[in-house]
Amino acid sequence: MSTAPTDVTGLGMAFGTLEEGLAWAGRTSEPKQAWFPIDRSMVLYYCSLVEDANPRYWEGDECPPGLLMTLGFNPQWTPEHLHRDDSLFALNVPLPGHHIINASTTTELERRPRVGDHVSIIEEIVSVSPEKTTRIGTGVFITSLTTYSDQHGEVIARNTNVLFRYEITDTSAETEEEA
Amino acid sequence: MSSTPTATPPTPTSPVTLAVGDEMPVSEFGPLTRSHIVRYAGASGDFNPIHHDEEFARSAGMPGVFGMGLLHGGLLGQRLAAWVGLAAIRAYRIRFTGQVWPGDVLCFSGTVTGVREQDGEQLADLALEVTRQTGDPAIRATAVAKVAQCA
Repeated sequence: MSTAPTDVTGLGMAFGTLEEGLAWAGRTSEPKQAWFPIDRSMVLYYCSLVEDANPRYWEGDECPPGLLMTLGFNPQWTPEHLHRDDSLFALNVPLPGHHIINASTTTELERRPRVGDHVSIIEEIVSVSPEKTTRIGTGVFITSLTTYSDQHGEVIARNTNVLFRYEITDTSAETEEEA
Repeated sequence: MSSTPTATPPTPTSPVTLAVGDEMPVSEFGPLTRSHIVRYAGASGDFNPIHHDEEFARSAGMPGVFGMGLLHGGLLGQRLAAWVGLAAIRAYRIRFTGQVWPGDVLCFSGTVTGVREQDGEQLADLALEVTRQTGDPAIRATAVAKVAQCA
């Protein structure tokens, strides 16, 4: 790979060899608490976007499960003394690819998330696939299992997510994923 | 710019009765705009530039920016909840089979593929799909929902 190992996405991606990445299968992150408790403005911006009129969100204290996965993102900038180097664990897997897209996601809910939940997140790297070539590039599929718990330790949901970490192989490549 | 408010049917608050072959009401969303993508980035914190930076997207092998999968995954989830009731959803699995692009009109559909009993609950297995106006599938999904016992 001739390109310099720099994170062009700004998402906190780590770089390494395929062998180093494969060795991450089975690793589990330290628990991390989401930067923000779930609040009403998050819920309402999201519901406005997906045009969800459910009164449990607009007039109650529930949160759409679709927002859970977003809680692992750190702010793009923080004051230096508040900086945390704990972006999404799946992005820390050291691999050659500079680009990443989501391939699939599975959510199993234990209970509905609510405004005020300050979610703790633990991620396990379930598997790192052998290198594969798809229509958009060559890379690996990273499967991770994320467990979301509230500030009292109660599990809210488990999410299995598959990311495709890749390098483009042909600039005229078609765009459909082959996940 | 704000969207015109639309009347939406109330979300069921108790399990609904479903049988094999029953279909989710078909609905559309769009045309998808860059503003939708920006709004999702703001709401979710997903600032992967592949979704909002045209030049970056092209450098990643894409013809341009495209919607985050969980944007139309969330739209599908909302329609699923409106069909079977939020509290009834036991599992929701989505597989992204292609990107969605600015200008796309997305179509949401679903059907009941099975009804079974497990752990004392009547469960329906659902197959769901998001397709573009071209007919290309963007998401193929499955879900499990608790349903009412048939009389």
